[in-house]
Amino acid sequence: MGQTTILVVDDDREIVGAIAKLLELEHYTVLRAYDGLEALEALHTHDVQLMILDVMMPRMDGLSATMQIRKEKNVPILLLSAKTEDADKIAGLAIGADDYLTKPYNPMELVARVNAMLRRYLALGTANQTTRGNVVTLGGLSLDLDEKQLTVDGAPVHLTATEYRIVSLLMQNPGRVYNAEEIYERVWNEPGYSVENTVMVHIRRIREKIEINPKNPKYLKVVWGLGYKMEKIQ
Amino acid sequence: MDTRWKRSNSGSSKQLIAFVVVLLTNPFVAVMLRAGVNSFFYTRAAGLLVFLGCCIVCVVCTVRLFLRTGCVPDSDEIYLGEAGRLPTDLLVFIFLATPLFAAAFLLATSLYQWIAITVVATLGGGVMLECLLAIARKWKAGRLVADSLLMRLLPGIKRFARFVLRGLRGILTGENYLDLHYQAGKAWVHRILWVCSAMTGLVIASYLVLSNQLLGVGNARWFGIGRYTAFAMFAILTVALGCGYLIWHAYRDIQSFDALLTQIDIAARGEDAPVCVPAESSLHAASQAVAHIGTHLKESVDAQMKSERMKLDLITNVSHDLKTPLTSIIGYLDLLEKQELRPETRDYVLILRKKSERLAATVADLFTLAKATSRSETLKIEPLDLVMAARQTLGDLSDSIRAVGIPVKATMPESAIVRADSAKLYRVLQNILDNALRYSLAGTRIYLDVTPGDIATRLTLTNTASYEMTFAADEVLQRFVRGDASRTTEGSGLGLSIAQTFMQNFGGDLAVEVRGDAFVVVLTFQNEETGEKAKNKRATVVYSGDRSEEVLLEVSEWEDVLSEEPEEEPPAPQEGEPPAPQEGEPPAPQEGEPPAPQEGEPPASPEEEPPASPEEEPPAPQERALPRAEPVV
Repeated sequence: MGQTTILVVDDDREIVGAIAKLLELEHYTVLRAYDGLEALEALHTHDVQLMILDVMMPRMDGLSATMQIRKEKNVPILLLSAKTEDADKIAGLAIGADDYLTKPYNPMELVARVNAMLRRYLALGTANQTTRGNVVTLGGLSLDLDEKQLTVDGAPVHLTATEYRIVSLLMQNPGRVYNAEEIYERVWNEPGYSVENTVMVHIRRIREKIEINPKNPKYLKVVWGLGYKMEKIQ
Repeated sequence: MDTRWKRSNSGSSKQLIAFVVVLLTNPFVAVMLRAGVNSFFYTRAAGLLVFLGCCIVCVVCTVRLFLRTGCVPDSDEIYLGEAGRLPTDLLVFIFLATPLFAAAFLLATSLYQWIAITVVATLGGGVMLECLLAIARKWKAGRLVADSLLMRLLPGIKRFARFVLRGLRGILTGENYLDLHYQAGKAWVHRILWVCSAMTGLVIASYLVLSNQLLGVGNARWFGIGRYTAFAMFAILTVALGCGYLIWHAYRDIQSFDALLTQIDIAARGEDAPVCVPAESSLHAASQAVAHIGTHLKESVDAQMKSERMKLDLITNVSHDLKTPLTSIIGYLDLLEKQELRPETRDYVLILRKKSERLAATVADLFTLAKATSRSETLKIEPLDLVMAARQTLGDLSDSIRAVGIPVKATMPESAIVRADSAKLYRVLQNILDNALRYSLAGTRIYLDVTPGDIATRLTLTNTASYEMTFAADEVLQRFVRGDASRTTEGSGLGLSIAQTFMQNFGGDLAVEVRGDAFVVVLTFQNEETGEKAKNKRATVVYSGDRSEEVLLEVSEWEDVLSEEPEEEPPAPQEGEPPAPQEGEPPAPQEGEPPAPQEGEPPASPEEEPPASPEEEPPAPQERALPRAEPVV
């Protein structure tokens, strides 16, 4: 496998330096750029597997750069920003980014996300050739209904039978909110009383297995006061 | 007043004498006397003498009267007296009317004897004299004209004259003589008055003209119409024209009025409301004023929106400027950690790392609070189940509950639908539970209580503090106030403040009570109107975190099954359970108790062996759903 090249773009040189050092420790090759225009140039001259892009930059900001990049390339983009509003996250992901991390971030989480995205990008590249029927995909999650196997960013994850049933139910109805009773009825096949705790515990276990940061889940979300859902991601 | 009366009185007694003398010696009397004396003395000379004497006395006294009338001794004031208070015109009238009246009286009563005549003449003369004296006094006081009735009526007469002249000018030249900008109502009064008086005038004039033979109209019939018929026709025509004019004006004004109302409505919504009333209408000025208001309102609303946007931009920019250096700090500290370090250095780095993470948390809290209070956040308030959210949060925090070792006893109904924002609700619940777990005394319990009401639902969280609370309840809600005054433990002091702001944004509130060592947080939520009455059946569940979920499942199932049949005796849970009470006793507050709201601490602590269950999934609950009838002794 060749050298995986990551392009890090931020107008703050120290942050770029810190991220670059961090990724080099993980044996990645790192390119640096300090605004949107430099990033585009670097993309044209080098073969890049992943980009880490800050949003607030001079000359060309991260969102415009993402739009430009998405016209030509499909490279995975991780947006890094001090803006924590839901509206900003949604805007960034809608424009074409693959992930969004807010500053200040936990460096370990950054590394974990980078690894996951690369795995998924490369795995998808190879998995495309072996298309089987009956696979439900949601972002980095890939549920094979025949083999009853869940793959997260290319890596297989072991689930118990109940956990698998819950994941299967939620993944096949992405965006829909189920409350604890509904989940219980469909997974255990019988009506249940006061099953909130059971279901909650299972959800927590699943989250620990599939989410990079269980405290800040990307896929399996709790809608407090209404129920649980699997986020609808392209 | 008394002194004045006295003073004038002393003078006035002399005046009185003079007055009487004048009366007695006035020319009439003098003539009579002369005639009498003549006939008595049979000489013309005596009579003449008496006559002259009377005349002289009379003249002297009259002069004296007039000179001294009204004078107040030792003063420049003029005492007007009773008669002097009457207006001048009235005095003149009385003066002229008295002889007429006296003559009329004599004629009417046919008293022609000279005694009667004399008496009447004297009385009348007295009145007339007094009138003259009063006039003299007024003249002396300089108030001859000022006191007249004419003067008093003059302003009103002037106004009326001006009104009539303006009206005539307006009718003749056609200009809007009613310079009444904001008094469309008054303009209407004037208009009606004018039209009515014009109609009346014309009708009367026409009647006079048509019925007056002198003007040569006579009994001629024009075109076969008689006078009175012509008059009737003319009168009807006049009235019709007058009413027509009024109705036409009314129609125009009503249209302007409606347009003005519409304009006011637009302005009230804060939009631009241009002038919509024609310039001739009396409402035109009002319309311009409303347009002005509309413009001002829109400008001030725009200004406010701009200031809100600037505030939000400020928050965003400062947020960015604080978070960027923090990012660098955390990033490089992390790299430092990964290097080869001496143990001492590693310790330093770890401390730095912890502190910078705490700083990041405080900054994040600060900006959450700023956004929440600036109301620039868009909240998605929807009907949520508070009980479900509480259970979810307790489940989410079960790790912390287990680590701290303080169980949470939750007494809640099956469901309670309230209005809140989902993510923020979690933050509020997580915040108060976190506080309770962090600051509770070991060995105590935390009590969570959800009480549904008719309009509001209350969630009460009570815990026993592990330190003495020396602050007042509302102090701790202040920003940056920490229960721990030395501020060494974790926490920024913003948590309760943020929670309170969120609660208020939901339309509810957060209140704190400190009762000795008990710390009580009361959340009040707005109910979602579902039309169903509040469910009062509640069950108590204990969350200890160290229970495996099967036991929790059992316990909570029990609660709900039991809550349906509170008459049933509480069944025994599992092995190791403390002995269940006998029948007939009020059920002891164990874990499997009927839904009575918890007041004090339960006597039995909720200890119980978890049934050994190796599989990861809970077994089918049917086996344990049915409570056993006989108690285990």
